[in-house]
Amino acid sequence: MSESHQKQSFLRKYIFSVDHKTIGIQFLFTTLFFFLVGGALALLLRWQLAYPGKPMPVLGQVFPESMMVGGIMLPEFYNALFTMHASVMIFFAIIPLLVGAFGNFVVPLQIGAPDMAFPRLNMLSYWFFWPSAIVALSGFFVQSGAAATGWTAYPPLSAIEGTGQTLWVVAVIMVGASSLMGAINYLTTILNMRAPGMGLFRMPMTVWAIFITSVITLLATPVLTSAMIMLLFDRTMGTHFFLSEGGGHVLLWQHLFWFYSHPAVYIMILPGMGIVSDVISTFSRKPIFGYHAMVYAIMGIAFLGFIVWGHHMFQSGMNPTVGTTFMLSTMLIAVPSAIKTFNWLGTMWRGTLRFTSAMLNAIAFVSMFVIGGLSGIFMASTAVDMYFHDTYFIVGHIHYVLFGGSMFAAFAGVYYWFPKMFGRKLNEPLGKIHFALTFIAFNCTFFPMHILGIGGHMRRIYDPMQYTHLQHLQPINVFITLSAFVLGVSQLILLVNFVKSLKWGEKVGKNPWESNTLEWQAPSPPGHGNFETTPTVYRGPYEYSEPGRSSDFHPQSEAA
Amino acid sequence: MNLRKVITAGLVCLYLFPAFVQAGTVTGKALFSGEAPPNQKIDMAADPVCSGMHKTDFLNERVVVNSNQTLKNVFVYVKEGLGGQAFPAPQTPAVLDQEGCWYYPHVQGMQAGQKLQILNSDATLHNVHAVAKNNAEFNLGMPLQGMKLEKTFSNPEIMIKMKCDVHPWMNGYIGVVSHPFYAVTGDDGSFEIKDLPPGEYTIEAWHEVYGTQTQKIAVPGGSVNADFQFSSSEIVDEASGLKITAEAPKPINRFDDSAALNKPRAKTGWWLPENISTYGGKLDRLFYVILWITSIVFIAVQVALLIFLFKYRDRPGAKAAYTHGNNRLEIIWTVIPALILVFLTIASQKLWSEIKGQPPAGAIPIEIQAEQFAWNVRYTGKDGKFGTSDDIKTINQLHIPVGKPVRVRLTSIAKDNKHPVIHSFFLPEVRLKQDVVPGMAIDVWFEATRTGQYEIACAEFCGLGHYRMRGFLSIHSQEGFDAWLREAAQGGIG
Ligand SMILES: [Cu+2]
Ligand SMILES: [Cu+2]
Repeated sequence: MSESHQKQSFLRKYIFSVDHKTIGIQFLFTTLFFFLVGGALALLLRWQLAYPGKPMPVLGQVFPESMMVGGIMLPEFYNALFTMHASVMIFFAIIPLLVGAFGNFVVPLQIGAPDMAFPRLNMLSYWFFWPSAIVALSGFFVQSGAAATGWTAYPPLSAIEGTGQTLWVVAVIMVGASSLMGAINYLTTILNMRAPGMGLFRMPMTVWAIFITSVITLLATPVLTSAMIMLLFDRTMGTHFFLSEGGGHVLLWQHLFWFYSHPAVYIMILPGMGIVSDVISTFSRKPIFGYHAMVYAIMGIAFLGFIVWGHHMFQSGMNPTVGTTFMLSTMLIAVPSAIKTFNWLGTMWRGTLRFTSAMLNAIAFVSMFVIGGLSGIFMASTAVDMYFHDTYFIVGHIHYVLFGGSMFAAFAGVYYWFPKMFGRKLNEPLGKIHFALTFIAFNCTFFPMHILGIGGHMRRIYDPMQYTHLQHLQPINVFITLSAFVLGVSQLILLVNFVKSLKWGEKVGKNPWESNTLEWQAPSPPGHGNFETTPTVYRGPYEYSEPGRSSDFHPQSEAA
Repeated sequence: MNLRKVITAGLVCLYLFPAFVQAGTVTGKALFSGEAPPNQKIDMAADPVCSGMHKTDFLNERVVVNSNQTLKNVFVYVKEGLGGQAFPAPQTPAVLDQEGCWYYPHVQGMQAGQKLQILNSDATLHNVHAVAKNNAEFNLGMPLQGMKLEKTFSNPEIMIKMKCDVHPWMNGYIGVVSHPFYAVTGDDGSFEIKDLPPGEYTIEAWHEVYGTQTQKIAVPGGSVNADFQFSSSEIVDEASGLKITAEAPKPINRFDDSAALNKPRAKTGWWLPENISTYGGKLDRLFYVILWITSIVFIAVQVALLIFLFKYRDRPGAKAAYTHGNNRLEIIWTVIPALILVFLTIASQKLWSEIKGQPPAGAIPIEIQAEQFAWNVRYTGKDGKFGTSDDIKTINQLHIPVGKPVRVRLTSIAKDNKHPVIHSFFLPEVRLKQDVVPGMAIDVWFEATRTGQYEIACAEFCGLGHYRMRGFLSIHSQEGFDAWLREAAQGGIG
């Protein structure tokens, strides 16, 4: 009796768990795994770009004839690789890592709640998420190959390509459903389950960011889902929503897709901004500079984020006058981003900075996000975009936002909350080596892409050597690929550190970082129900270095 | 038992078709009279891999007149007289090799049902496109050196044209017949068809420029001679496929525009390629304005960050300041970026409306139909109208004059019942990019400021062959362009 009870509880505890912490950790493991998968896909395609038509050593022999012939990559496979790299990173790594993993683990703890509002829905969200990734990746094993029309899947091409594309569409619908379940849960939890005294303007920035992100998800995802269903109908039932010959309109897809996917960029960056704000304030030992401005800036980004989607379509054949309107809104969305950057600088100004691995990654976020933000201004200008649209300049830009931004924030989050999750610290020296290598290799990989773009290098081409005007740029491609390999290998350090520290990491108490927010008042790791007694909140989350106190921090739940 | 079956079957055959035992041979020559056109040199400059493989001029094989006044590359085959006899297809495949950016052999025969092995011996991409009517068309990319493909034509067809969509000069012909009685003339213009059962036959000789000749002959067993006479006065009109009487070759007044076309290009290194359009300079200036502004912000922020990291690093005894912010600062760093960004919007808008607005009056109308994976370029011809018989058409070759605006109407088309897809018309040096959208006709315009040869790229992912959807922009002198139009109108160039 007792044995069968134990077995069931193992399943309930680790597999079909409804505890937000376990689900958060499940999301974390799964998304970090997909991060490595997506990275591996990128490295494969980088080989082809640096050495087009050269057989890939060793690994090249493993692939079947439909992907590589004698180790030489075929264009079909290349096209599937860049499509799946982006899809895996966006849908199965970054969004669920920032929102699913950190949102789940951190939000109830930071607002002083025992769990999420809908624990079962929360579990269901995870069980929609990982199968969706399997569905999309299974495309590699069907005869037509995986989806190969880019992560933007523009019809008519995406309406006529093979079975892998159908799998991709189904996967995106599933992962969309998963995000929606998460969003509803975060909104309800944050609105209804805050501990006594936790007013909205006493919430940590991570909670604010997840809150606003969930609003975006809730408003935008249904649009993506309906577009996907229409595309599925065009593919399987002979409808013509996006096919001009049946009275449909090709550009309709782009409007619907970007109505989701531009806000999705903010879904991928806002939680990162929240995490980074928490980390920077903690390790600067200073209150966040301009808390209210930071909150309003997030709201501003979310609002403007819904009226800028047309900037992906300046050269699409959309009316040029409409383009002008989108140019204005796009230019303006840089303003709240600037506000946030200056406030992070303001937070560090006259602080006492502690350079933990978490802090280093958070600083890298600020520094890299500036590049990603500034490079976006080139494309915001309709006229300049005419040259840069669909070149490597935009590939560089998006990677500065999504890797330089989102991923460094995610790393910061991992180093910061790992002790809370597992009761042990990640190894700091290894963390710093991982950071230094990643930071250098990241810049060597993605900065030169801007130069390629300035040289006129188109994106999504299997063999740049086909064009005479690109041949002199080839050394840059080689350099990028070598750097990308270093970047890829550097992530193994994090993997080793992660696995090693789970078992042998330095044990910590409740509050290893001397932090103010509520999660640090719970045991490490917190038990079922999180807090020994429901905390009461007496002040804002960032009261560091208050004059007249002996310690330089003042937890939110401390009465005096 | 099997052996006995085979022997029996063999004996029956021998008994029923004694003709095979004493088969006949047809021999002959493809004679040629008149003046051969000068063999044209093929310019492979479009693909440096191709031109690099030929140290000397590479001559077109369309018309090769041998030293004994005979024609090479004439396909001779039995057209009628074999009745309904079936001949098993040979097991050994026919071979078509792509080498030095040319098809070898240029003309060949094979049997229906026989395998055709297609090789790529070049370290460049070829795209083998079989233009067939009785057989399934195919159009396949062969990106890799040493790559092989096998295809079968199941029905007879005279002739199937093979062409490469990457290298417009590449073409070859395959005669597919239902029997083994065919030959192709070689360097002495002779052919030999062996093992032909005795009987009455119609024999046809086909040449790609001078059309077909037929002869009725009786083959008694033993050898028969049948010569064919081709003449330079009769040629086949390529468009209609009908034989026409060639006018005396008009001396085309070839205008030599090579000085303009080969004008050296500016070296720009790892940066913006040279600008060659009237509005490109303004676009570049706007780019530099943004580059300056963003660089200043970038450096200021990064330097401040570095200073903070150093100056405010945690040291024993250090205490952080206690401040929640400063509203005046918030306003400053909201308003200043907003003003700069609105300024950039206004600056962009001016140029944007110039580029996207009405093309200047008098712009030369050109239509480009993008398909997977080529640019079909059309000019109006003399009548100034599209869709008439005097339209000038090229594939992947856009010719324009310098110093005159051109208006390009972009549409997306699909061949072979496929769907049209989105492409993007990108001229890097012109700074022009415009998506080509199915169901829409989109006009763009530009005016080149110098002569020379540049590339057209497809910038929107359009499928398997997207990366090789490459075209060529030739900017002529005005005289050169007029001459080009004249020659193109006479069918001189593609
Ligand atoms: Cu070719
Ligand atoms: Cu294309």
